[in-house]
Amino acid sequence: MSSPWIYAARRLLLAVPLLLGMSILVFGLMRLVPGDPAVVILGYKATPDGVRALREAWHLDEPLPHQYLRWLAGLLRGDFGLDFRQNEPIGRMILDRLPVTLELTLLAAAGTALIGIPLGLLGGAQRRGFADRATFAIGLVGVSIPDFWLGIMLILGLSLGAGLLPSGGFVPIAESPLENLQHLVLPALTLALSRAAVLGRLSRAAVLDVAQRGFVQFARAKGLAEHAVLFRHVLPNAAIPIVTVLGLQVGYMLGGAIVVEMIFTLPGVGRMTLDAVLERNYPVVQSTVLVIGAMFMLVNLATDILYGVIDPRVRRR
Amino acid sequence: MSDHDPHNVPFADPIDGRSGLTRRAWLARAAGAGVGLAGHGPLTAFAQGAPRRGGTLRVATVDKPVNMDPGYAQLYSSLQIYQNVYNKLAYVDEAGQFIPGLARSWKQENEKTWLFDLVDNAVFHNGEPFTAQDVVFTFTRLLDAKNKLPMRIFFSPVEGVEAVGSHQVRFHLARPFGPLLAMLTQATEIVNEKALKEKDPKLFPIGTGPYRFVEWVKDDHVTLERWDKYFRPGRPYLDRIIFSAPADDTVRLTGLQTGRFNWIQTVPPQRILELERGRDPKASPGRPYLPFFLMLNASKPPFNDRRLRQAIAWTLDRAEIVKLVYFGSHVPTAEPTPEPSPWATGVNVHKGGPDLARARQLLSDAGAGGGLTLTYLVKSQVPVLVKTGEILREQLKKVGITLEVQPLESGQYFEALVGKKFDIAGAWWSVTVDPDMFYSPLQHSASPWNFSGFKSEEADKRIDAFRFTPSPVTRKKMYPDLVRWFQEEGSLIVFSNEIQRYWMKPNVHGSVPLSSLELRFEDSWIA
Repeated sequence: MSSPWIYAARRLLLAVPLLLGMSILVFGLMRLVPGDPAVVILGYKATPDGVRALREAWHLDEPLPHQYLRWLAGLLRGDFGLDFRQNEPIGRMILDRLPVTLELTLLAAAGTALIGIPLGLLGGAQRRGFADRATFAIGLVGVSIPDFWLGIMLILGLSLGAGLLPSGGFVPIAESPLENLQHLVLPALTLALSRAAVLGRLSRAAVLDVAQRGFVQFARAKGLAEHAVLFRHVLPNAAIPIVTVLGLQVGYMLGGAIVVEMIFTLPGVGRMTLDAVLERNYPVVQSTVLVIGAMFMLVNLATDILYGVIDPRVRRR
Repeated sequence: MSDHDPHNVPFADPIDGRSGLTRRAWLARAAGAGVGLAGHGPLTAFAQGAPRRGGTLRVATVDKPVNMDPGYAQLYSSLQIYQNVYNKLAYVDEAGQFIPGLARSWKQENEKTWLFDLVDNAVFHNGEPFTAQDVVFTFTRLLDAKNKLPMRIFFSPVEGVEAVGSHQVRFHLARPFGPLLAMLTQATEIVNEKALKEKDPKLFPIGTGPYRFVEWVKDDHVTLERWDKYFRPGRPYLDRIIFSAPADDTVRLTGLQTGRFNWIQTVPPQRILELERGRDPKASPGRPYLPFFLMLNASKPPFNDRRLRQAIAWTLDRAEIVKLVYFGSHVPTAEPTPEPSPWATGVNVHKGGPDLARARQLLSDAGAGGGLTLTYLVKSQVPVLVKTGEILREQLKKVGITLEVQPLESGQYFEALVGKKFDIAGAWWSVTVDPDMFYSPLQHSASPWNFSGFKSEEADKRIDAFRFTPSPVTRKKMYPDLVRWFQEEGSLIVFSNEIQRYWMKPNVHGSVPLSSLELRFEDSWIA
């Protein structure tokens, strides 16, 4: 087995205790949050008998360690349990919604990279010049604008005003790839803009750092054109911090697209998790957090492996 | 209250003497504007031209559905959808009168039995013909304690339902039951035993209604399609209805403006005046069908003292709350069923209020002249009720009462409410086709929904008398006195009623608010 595979296997093994710790944490935290799921689900129909019956049906009357072990045993069998509200298998609920969140995340990540990296390059290449100041200003505005406001502004401008794109909803890619894309452009843009601002700032710093190194000075001294210096020598060497941040952003977007999913009425995992938190739908929150956590780890692993692809020195180490 | 979220349904002006517009004047003005409040006929008052068949109604409601089984009636957002899939025996029309559904006609044979003649041409969406056995099955399922269906409690006076013929049923009551018809219009969608066994009714509703269930993409939309074997000839008009539930008011309105939706349930109240000036979108008539009130916790001091409850009632300035919080999307009222409800009484024992001198005197008589510190419990997800608490805080300050507003999110709110850990709570209640549906659950000492903990033998006697009087005429005569008594003695202070009003594209017709709060789309059409 070659070293990257050993490395990946080791990382995956390390993920097991991490996931176990996460499961204990999310299980414990949900129990600390005030509010009885039976009372919340029954709402105004919460009679003492009704609450008692639901608590029994959901095993909430058992000691906490029993509840945890029951859930964990289910997980090991690949059974996430049943949703408190609709009695649906949670595994299926997650599978139904995951493609929406994944697609949104991938599009937003592509948008983040396409906007953020050129911004950073431009700023880094012309330090203290007009482009740098403009990049800085754009970055500052991008970081400061909250997603919910930006989303509504994009709807008002591009959907209501210009009539270019739908204001919300979702069409599965299998049904119509074009409509699917049209429905995801605005949400992906909303997610991408603020993250691109962060990536732009970081890319600028990375580019500036590499641009001052000797081999770059040497390339310039050789008489290489500026764009060749930038793309052939600076960018590959500045790529590692850029990829790191992009990987983290993808991880955050997997679980953090809640606001965007709400504004654009996308049936994704984020929206489901938020509803479950508000309803104290314990098994749904626990399962989605665990799945999102696992995906975050996978993205981090992929990022680490990508380092080796970008920089052969990392592989050798 | 109920699980229906009180969205801020719009109307321009508060209806109050001091705003220069009386309730009567408002009604007259609304009628003048083509609102047709007095219409007793079918839903034609608001429609224009001849109904046209076809088209898709893309509906945006406030909240997403969770359970399509009518036995649970879980969340208003679920009812809004499945009420188009199922039929009930009877309905209420725009004027609050009972009209036939699956029951063609009915008669009260004696104080304890009712005979219902059923339509013989209705077919369930699974192909099963509708018969009396389906009605028997529906009520047997509902009344069987083993099934633990929450709607059972509303039908406690019903002993059983018997099939007399293939299309005739007889209801047997344990005692005379005044609101029987109202109950039938509220929560008795007729189900089919075979359909229930074939598919989980929580996920796949199968009824005889105007639209059949097609798909439910969770957190996204529910699609219904016209049922071609619907028993009312020519109905429904629409080919398809797609229900979505964007969580945000602005997103919903933008969706209507961009054409993503052509019918939405509410708009942000602050946008009402501006929207009224335009042609697109247009608004349905507005009807005050959702009472908002304060619950005073009478299970413990200080509000186990009637004088202190009255002190709050005399301090309350309803008009100010409606003006500052609801932008005129509510009407100030002291009763749960104001005009145009057929149950409107106009009774307000606190007329002329606020009367701060009187409130101070009551506080002093109750030994609280030195002031009181109270908590106001409210769900944080309902910002209008939080703002109501803030205005109330300022109003109560004038008589030396300090009010701490406690916005809690759902989980904590329900725990505090059920555990009676509050002094005052802001609430609403969506079941007012018959006022018994307001007073029985909320003020009867035996009711599990008596969250304010009000217990009074006299109250129970009065509620029971109203409930178990079979004659509608006698009940109507009894009702003003019931309202008066509860305003003086009870633990609820009704302060406003939310005006239900829907917004749609100019080519959408035949949609009016009903006191049952149903979104009944069988008469809707697109020009």
